[in-house]
Amino acid sequence: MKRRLEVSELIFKILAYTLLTAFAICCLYPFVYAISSAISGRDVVDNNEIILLPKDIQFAAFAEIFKNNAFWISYANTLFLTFYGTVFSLFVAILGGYALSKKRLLFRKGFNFILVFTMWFSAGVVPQYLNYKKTLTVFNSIGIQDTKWMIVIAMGMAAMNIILLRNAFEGVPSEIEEAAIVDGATELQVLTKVYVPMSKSTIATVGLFFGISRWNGYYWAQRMIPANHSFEWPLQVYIRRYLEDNIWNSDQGAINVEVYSLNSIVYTMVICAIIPILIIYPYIQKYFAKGVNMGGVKE
Amino acid sequence: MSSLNLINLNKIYDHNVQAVYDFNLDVNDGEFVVLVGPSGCGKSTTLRMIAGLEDITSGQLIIDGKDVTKMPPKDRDIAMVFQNYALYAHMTVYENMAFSLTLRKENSDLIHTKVMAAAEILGLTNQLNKKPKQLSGGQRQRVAIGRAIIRNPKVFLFDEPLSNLDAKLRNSMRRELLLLHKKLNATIIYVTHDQTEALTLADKIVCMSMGYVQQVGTPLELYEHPKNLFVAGFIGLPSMNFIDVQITEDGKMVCPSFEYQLSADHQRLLKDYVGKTVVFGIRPEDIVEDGDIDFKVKINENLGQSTLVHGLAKEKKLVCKFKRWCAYKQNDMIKIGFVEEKMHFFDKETTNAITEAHNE
Repeated sequence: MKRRLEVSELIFKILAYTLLTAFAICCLYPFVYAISSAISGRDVVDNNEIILLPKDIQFAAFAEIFKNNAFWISYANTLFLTFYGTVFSLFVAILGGYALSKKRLLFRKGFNFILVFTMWFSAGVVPQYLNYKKTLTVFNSIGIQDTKWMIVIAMGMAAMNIILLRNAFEGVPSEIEEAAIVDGATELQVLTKVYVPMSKSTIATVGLFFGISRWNGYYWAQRMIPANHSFEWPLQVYIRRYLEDNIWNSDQGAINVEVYSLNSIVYTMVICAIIPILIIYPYIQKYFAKGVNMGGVKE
Repeated sequence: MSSLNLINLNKIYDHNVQAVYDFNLDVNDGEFVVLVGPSGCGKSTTLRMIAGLEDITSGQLIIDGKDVTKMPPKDRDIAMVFQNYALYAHMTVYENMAFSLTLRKENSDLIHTKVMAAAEILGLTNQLNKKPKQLSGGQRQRVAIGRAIIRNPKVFLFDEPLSNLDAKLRNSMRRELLLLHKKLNATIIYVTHDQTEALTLADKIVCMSMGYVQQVGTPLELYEHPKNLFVAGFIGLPSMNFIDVQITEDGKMVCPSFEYQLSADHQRLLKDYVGKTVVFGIRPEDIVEDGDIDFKVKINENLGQSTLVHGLAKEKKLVCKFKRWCAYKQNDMIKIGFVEEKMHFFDKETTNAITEAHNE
């Protein structure tokens, strides 16, 4: 039987739905606008006539992008960074989180404190930059300086994610570990065969955090990979440079612009950049929703 | 299967907290030994020391003549069943049972044969592809047992395996465990705080309290000849009644509630205690509705085949268990007496039982 809503409940529901709808529109609108701008004609875009739907539809901007090698190189770089960055970061975070979750770890409290401390106080941009640059000159000898690998390694650790994993591992009942030990598992087998599969959802969540931050990573990539290594740039840095070179610093650009506006090129890049996330997100979302709860709250 | 010797085992935690004192026990091949005692008595700690999950502070643990005191758990050839099942939630029943053999890189055909055999014994054949969360509590515990038996270990360790099950299931699982023990002829060490489980399952009971072994013996020995007040009070349900009595020169035991003429045997037993106070113990089932002690009924609890009658002998609270359906009402006055040969006496100071051996 349906229960009649109280007035206060009704007001709350109306408010909640209204606010959420407004929020959803705020999130969706820029996306729709970007698509419309990407495929609209030059004049309407340059005269800011696009409000929601595209006008004078053309796909020349997409055609132009598909021909642009530098774009696809940076796209590949971003894929590379996202894949290896996520794998490496997850590797570090899983090992770190597992060790920190064990009460028998020597100086556990101290390590946890140091870890959390970096979340409260960061060193600041300049010391961080010097740190990366100086430390990573060590890697000069193996030839990864000024390459994508620097980002993979320098950005490899994230305190928050280690804490999420630590909490997830702490949530696994100690009897399970003991059962595995009695069954004959080594420490590494306990981690890989019991803890990791049992914390799948948190690991998926943390992996998503890492993946998105690598995909969207701009600032440190731009700082650490110099312009003479532009073939190592990820997509975000490339788009920014493209804007600088072709729109902000030039009078309608170096490329021949006929049917589409230069802004359409930018929007096209934006759409290309977001597509992989749109494809992957729904698959991970089920873990994501569960994972944030599971790792964050110790049951 | 094999034997086990625990020699002077001690467990001392940080800050000098001692959980187990000088634990000595010999377990024979195929024996079902139950460690029983209240929470915090050190029984689980002892079991975990045998498993290798806790370090042994001092003492020696010998399995099959081999000193395993310092050996890691996986080399001790033991299997353990935990109270909360401790199943791997991400694996199917089959994978859970096969896990230990997979880790040992056994041949997959052999693993399959063993898993199927264990599943057959435990009635899990139709559940092999399910995940633990799809199973009932009893089935989960069976999977945990299956995981243990598949390895054919030297010793099985059970840590309160039935406490998470409801009463009915616990009874049936208890019988299954007994049958399993007979079938496998396994050496089993079983921890429980439930004395019914201890009495029904054990070949040998180790009764513990506050880290000390109080008594080791067969269930009947512990029930009929408890060594001290603790064992007398712990074993048996409802617990034994205890009354402080004074032994008089004319062979009576006297307390504010009643006077009772002791038999010649009991007088001889208590000859050193004349004029002193001792603790008299009598089990509820050893009180009869026949005698000359006045008893005022407070509560009449019918259990079907017997009746628990709670009441007062003057001010002293007593529980009686009569083997018939009684229909006493509150404040009914009845006469009770004690079964001569089932009376127990304990030294008030040492709390030890006063026995013939004591007098010799």
